[in-house]
Amino acid sequence: MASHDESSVSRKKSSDSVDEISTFNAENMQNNAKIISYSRTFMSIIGGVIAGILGFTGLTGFIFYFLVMAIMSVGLAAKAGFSAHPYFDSWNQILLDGFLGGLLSFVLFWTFAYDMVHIF
Amino acid sequence: MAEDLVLDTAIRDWVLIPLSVVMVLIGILRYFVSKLMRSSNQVPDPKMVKEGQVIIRARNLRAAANYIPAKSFRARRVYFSNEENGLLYVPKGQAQNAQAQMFSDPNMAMDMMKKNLSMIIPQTLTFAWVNFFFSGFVAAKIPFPLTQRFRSMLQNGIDLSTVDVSYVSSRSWYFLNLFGLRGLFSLILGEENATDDTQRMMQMSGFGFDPTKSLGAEKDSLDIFQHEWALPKFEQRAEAVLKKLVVSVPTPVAETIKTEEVKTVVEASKEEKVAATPAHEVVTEEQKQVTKEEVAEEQVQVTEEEVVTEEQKQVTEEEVAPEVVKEKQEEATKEEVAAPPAEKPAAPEAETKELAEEAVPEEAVAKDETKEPVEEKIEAEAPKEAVIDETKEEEAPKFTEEEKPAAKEE
Repeated sequence: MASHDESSVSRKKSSDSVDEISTFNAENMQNNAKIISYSRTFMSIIGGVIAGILGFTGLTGFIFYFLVMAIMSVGLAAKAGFSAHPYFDSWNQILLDGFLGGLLSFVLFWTFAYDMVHIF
Repeated sequence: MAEDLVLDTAIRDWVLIPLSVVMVLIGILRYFVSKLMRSSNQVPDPKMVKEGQVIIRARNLRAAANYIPAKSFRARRVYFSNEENGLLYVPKGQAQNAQAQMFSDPNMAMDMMKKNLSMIIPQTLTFAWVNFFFSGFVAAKIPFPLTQRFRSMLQNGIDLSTVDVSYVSSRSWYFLNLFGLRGLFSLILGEENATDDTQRMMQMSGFGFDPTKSLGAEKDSLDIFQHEWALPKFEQRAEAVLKKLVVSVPTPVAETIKTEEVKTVVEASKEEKVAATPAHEVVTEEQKQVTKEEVAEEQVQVTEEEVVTEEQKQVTEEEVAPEVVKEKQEEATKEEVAAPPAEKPAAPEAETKELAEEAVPEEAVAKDETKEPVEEKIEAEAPKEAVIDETKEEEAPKFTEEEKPAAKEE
């Protein structure tokens, strides 16, 4: 859905770095960043629901959140062919961007699912 | 004391779900309302728009400055930051004026107030509603433990102090929803949603002082900028790319010849580039001529590589066995493949250069410039046309020759 757009707009991004000149196409970079943030939000919501249904409490839940985020980073890196350079500004953007932004959504849906299933 | 409270199912049916649903709906409603209200009074101030565009142009110049020769960059920079009639120069008196005008302008003030209200009112109303209807009982259990300090915050309706802090009241469920649904809104409403408070604050604070201060800021950063012309290095980049491709075919004779050829070609094209730059600097009025320059430059690059392959082929055809010739032809096709990727870096840069050059001629038409280019233009057009014709001629026969070995290969 959204993830295969990334590869189709990929190659226009930057030039080879024999020199230090990298011309980044701003529109494509923005598009890629948007895709990352959508994916992270979506995964954190789904992860929250899963954590709630499985009944994780306390620290286990947070560990699960980080696990989901790590899986997402790996998946994103694999999609980008394990080379951050043509698609993103730096590796940090793939790995860490939006990490904490999804936390609140995760907690909300985790609470929701947990209550639905276990308390009521 | 982690006793498990058993909570009534009715709480789930009548508190949690309705509260979430209501908050989602209010968010969507707010989004549409803000969209409607915004489109009704959309009169952009021409002066502000103009200043914004000037800033964008200056930024483009800074971003793409390394792709134009030093002299033309300096000419453009003077155009922007000149003391008397430079675009970015704003005398101190005017600066104050604009700011004061902004805040006393009734339209602008009304606009900002409307935006503020549309943000705050739904939140306030919902909070009051939650407090009125859903207070005094345990609403949900949060799955992670918190310290006792949070008790007063999360359990404000519940007056028992022995209840686990994890059991929270509906007020905390409201806050949890408030923060957690932001992510959901960004998914379902696209990026235009105005439901994020912090973003709004940043936008509003940025808008007011935009024209006056940022003009000065742009001017300063333009003055500071160090120009470093990147084009002379492009031949080395092409060389490196070609080398990388050719390294996989190991025939020592060919390699030494190739590097020599590449070096001579590199030097030759350097001279060509230096000769071609006076033609480049001209601020022309017709866009056709601007694009012709870009095309000529690209063609010059392409012709270098094809000169290389041409001469390679000639040399090896004289000498050795047909095997080597076949390998040369393989190399030729590989280099043909290398030519498009090397062209691609030229293409986006050509785009930005075009943008910068296109924008400037429009202003040049409007203002009367007393610079030399007017005269330079006339005399430079003659040699430039010659260069273009030359390269076009050179390029046509080479392309057909390239296609023949490629066809033979297949």
